Amino acid sequence: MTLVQSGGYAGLRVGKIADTGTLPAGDAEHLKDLVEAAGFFDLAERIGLPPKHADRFQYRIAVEDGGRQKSVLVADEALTDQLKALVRWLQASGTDA
Amino acid sequence: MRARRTREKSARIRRARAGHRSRALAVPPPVSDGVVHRSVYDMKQGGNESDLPGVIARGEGDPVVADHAVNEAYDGAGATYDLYSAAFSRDSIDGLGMELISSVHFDEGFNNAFWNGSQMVYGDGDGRMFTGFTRSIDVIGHELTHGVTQHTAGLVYEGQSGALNESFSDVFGSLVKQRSLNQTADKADWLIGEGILGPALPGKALRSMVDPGSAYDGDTQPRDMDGYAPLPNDEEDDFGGVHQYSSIPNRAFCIAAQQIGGNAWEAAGTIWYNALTQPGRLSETADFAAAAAAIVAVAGELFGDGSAQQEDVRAGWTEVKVLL
Repeated sequence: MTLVQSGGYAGLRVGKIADTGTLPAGDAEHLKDLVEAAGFFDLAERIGLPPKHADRFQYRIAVEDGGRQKSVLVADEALTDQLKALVRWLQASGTDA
Repeated sequence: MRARRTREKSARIRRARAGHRSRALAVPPPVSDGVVHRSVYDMKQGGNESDLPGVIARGEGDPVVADHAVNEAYDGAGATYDLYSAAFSRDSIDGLGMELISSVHFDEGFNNAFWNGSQMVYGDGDGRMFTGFTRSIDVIGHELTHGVTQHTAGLVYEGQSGALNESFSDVFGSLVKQRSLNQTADKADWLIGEGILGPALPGKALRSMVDPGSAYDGDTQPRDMDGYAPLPNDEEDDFGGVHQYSSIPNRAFCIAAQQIGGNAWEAAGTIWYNALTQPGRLSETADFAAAAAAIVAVAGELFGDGSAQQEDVRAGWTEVKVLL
C-alpha cells in the first residue's frame, strides 16, 4: 500500500510504502487490522474534499489486497480515528517512497 | 476593561486548576478596542481537532512561560496584530478585534501549521523535515493572513488565485518579520520559514521571495512566468501549485519594495494591503495579470498616476513577466 501526503504549509509531497508480504508477521497482521478497522474498501473515493482552508494536508491512500484495489483521497480534517491510525502507522513504519 | 480581563483570566485559571480542558465552545465575541487579545493553548501532542484549542497555557497579559513554543506563538500573534493595526489600521484578522487563539504541540511529529478558520494550530515537526513552526515569525504571520484573506478578497485556493492567496500570506508574513526586526527592504533577507528546516530539507529556509528556487536543496519555485507551467488543479498537485507559483507575485512584491526603498510595510505593504482588502478590488478568482493591474491601479490612487511608487510596483510585475 502507498500513502502520499500533499499540501501543507510547505506544499510538499511525501510518500510512504508498505507491503505486508515483506513485513515481519506481527506488523503485517497489525497493518491488515488497521485497514479493516478503517473499513477501507467501503470508503468513498474522496472524503472531505476540497479542503475548506489553506495549508491543510491531503492524503492519498492506495491499497492492493489480492484481487481488489482501492485508492482514497482524504482531507486531514476528515480523517476518522481509524484512518488516522492507518496514516500514522504508514508514516512511522512505511519506507520512504 | 482591565477588571473584565482579570475576571476572564481568573475563570481560566480556575478551570485549569480544576483540570478541565479549556475548550472554546464557540469563538469568543470580538472586542474592537484596538488592543490585541491573545490566548495560547497546549494540545499536549493530541491530534484530534475536536479537542482544540486544548489546555490554556498563556492568556493575554500573562507573563512568559517555560514552554518556548507557547511564547513564540504568543509573540508572533502579537507582532502580526501590531503590523495590521499600526501599518494598516486593521483591528485583528477580521478587522473587528477577533481574539487570536493559538494551539501549540498539535499531534506528534506533525510537519505543519495551519489556520482552521477560527484559530492557529501548530505542530512540532518530526525533527527530520521540520523542527518546529512557531520559531519562525513569518510562519505565524502567513497563517494569520490566510484569515485576513478569508475575510476580504477570499481568493480561491487553486491555480493563480490560489498562488496569489499564498503570496499575500508570504508577503504579510515577511512584513511581520521585517517590522519586528525593524529592517528596511534592502536589509531584509526575504526568506520564508527560516530556521525550521530539519536535516531532511537541507537549506536556509522554505521559500525565498528575492531569489526563488534558492531557499533549500529541493526548492523548485520559479523566478518569473518563464517558469510557469499550469499544473492540474488536484490535491496531489497542490491545487495547481499554489505553494509552487506564489514565488512569482512574491518576487514582484520584493522588487517593488526594494525599489521604493525604506520599510517594505509602509508604501509597498499599504498598496498590497489595499489591493487585498478593498471590496471589489480583487475578484476571488483573480489571476496574476488581474492582480498586477489592480495593484498598479491602487498604487496610482494612493501615490498618483505616474508616481515613482506606481512605477516601482509596475517594475516588480514586469520583472516577473506578468506585465509586459
